[in-house]
Amino acid sequence: MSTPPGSDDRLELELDQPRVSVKAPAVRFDRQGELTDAERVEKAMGNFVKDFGRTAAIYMESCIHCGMCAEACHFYEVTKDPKYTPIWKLEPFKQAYKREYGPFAFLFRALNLKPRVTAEQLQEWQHLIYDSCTVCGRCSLMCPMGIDIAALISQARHGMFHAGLVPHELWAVAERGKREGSPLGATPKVFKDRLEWLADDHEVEIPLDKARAEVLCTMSSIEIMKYPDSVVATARIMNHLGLDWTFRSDGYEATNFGLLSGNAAWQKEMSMKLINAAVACGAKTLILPECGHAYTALRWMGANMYGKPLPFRVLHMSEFLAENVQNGRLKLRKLPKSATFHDPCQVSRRGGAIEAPRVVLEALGVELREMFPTKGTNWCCGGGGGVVANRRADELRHKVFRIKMEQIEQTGAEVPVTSCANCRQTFDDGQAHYKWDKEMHSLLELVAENLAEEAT
Amino acid sequence: MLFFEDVFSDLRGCDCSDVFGCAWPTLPTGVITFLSAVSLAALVAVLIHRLTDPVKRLISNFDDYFSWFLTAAPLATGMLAFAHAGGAPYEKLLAIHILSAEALLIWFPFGKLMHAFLIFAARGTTGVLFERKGASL
Ligand code: SF4
Ligand code: SF4
Repeated sequence: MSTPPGSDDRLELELDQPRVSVKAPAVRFDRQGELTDAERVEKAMGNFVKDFGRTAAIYMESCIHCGMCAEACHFYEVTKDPKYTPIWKLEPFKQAYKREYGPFAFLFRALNLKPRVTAEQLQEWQHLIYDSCTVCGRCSLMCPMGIDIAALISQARHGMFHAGLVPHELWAVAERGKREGSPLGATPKVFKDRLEWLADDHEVEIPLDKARAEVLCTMSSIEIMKYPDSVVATARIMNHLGLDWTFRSDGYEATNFGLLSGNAAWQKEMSMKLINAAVACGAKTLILPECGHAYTALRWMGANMYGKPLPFRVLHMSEFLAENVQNGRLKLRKLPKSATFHDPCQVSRRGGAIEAPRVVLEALGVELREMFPTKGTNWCCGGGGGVVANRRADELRHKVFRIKMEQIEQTGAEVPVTSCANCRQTFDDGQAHYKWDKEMHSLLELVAENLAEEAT
Repeated sequence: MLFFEDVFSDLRGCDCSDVFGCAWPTLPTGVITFLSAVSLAALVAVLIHRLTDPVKRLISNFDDYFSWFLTAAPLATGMLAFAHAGGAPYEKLLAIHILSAEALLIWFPFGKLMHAFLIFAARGTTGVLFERKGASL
């Protein structure tokens, strides 16, 4: 069903629930805009191969259909349904590639060996591409041919976005992001007001819009709207370290919905806000919040957006904390508890910042009990890639969350810790659903609660 | 591996020493037969797995089965020729065998068998990216 003209697509946000989403729509619109079916297919495919041509071609040609990626995916693992095999989630794109772009496309077309992909088919695959993939990249690690399936899926999502074939909630959030500059309504005004309120309430100094500063801190919208304690924790730690730091109202939002939804122009716009703010205040270091894809967006794609090397360092919060533990500036009280660390996929497996949080946990003196598997092969929480906001995916997501609960129960650790606000809200929601007694903690907040009294 | 066996066994059929003054080394017939049998058995097992495993069955296409067939054919025909199966003339069986091996070589660059080379391109592409990030298992 496509959006009827005049309908209110500006769905209200729901911020007081365990996970942040838009209010449950009375009628879902999982098809947007007024494109014809043929246009949808064309847009989906055109954007799939765009900017990605050669890599996509190598990957598409390389798959040996061995099926090993199935076991890597939590959605297959809990359901044993072959349709959740990672590479199958790309089937229409493979089909279109062979027919339209591959080296023997002319043959496939002439003999009609591969039928034309239809809009119905894409609509059907929307469930596989969006509801049952968190773009966690576990499959990419397991594939014997080294095919980065997760990258292909996010590329397929780019295509789907341009074709107007996005699940209702994700589209509503992206649309709000485009309209207001923040997907969850954390506009510059809201951000300013929140900082004032937090500074008063918690009696902490939170500098905003300083003209010059060594360090620029940023936040994710989930933290600003749902976990404001993380904002306070950031301020406490920066002040404790005695750093010359600031937030900037012209560049605070590290959430990059352009990257998430697959709109390259928006992605650049969002990244440039952060980059320009850092350049404007002469920052030497930009700190990214506890957010997974924000790390990918700026740490790994930032320079490409800027067109030249960034004139400052980009660190994930966990890397920043680890660095200050290692150089002796950050002194922490010991926490006599056992803890286990949940690796956020985009930071650990796909980002490479695997050891940093463990350095910090060691400094906290907790007894670290690793999950099995852990680090780069840790299981995903099931909420990444927008899945947590997608109501249609709730039942399946709760099923895969059981893997996570079992993993954590097996460690017997008292405190689960992670370093991504999106993982955290997925845990909050899973915890509420299963009435589980384990609550997910933020590494950042844990550090802020345990700063040693005597400042260095 | 299948490939080498086949080449080696075929080479036994022609005498290159006339032209080059020396001949390719050849493997004893017993070894060839044994290896062919083992390979064929393995191929059959792999095919059965592909047909019965729900994941593999879903994601497989024509290319997978055709490539399997062309890989298995030279082995099967080679063994038949060697055994002079059904009393058919050896030349005929040998011709079929050589044809099947040629079909395999012709198909090679167009189908799934290219994975033998593409594995380096695909793993290389991903490897470079992850190496840059320092991501590991
Ligand atoms: S593991 Fe890799 S090669 Fe095997 S089916 Fe999956 S994507 Fe294809
Ligand atoms: S990226 Fe993760 S969720 Fe998506 S198909 Fe691969 S293993 Fe499954």
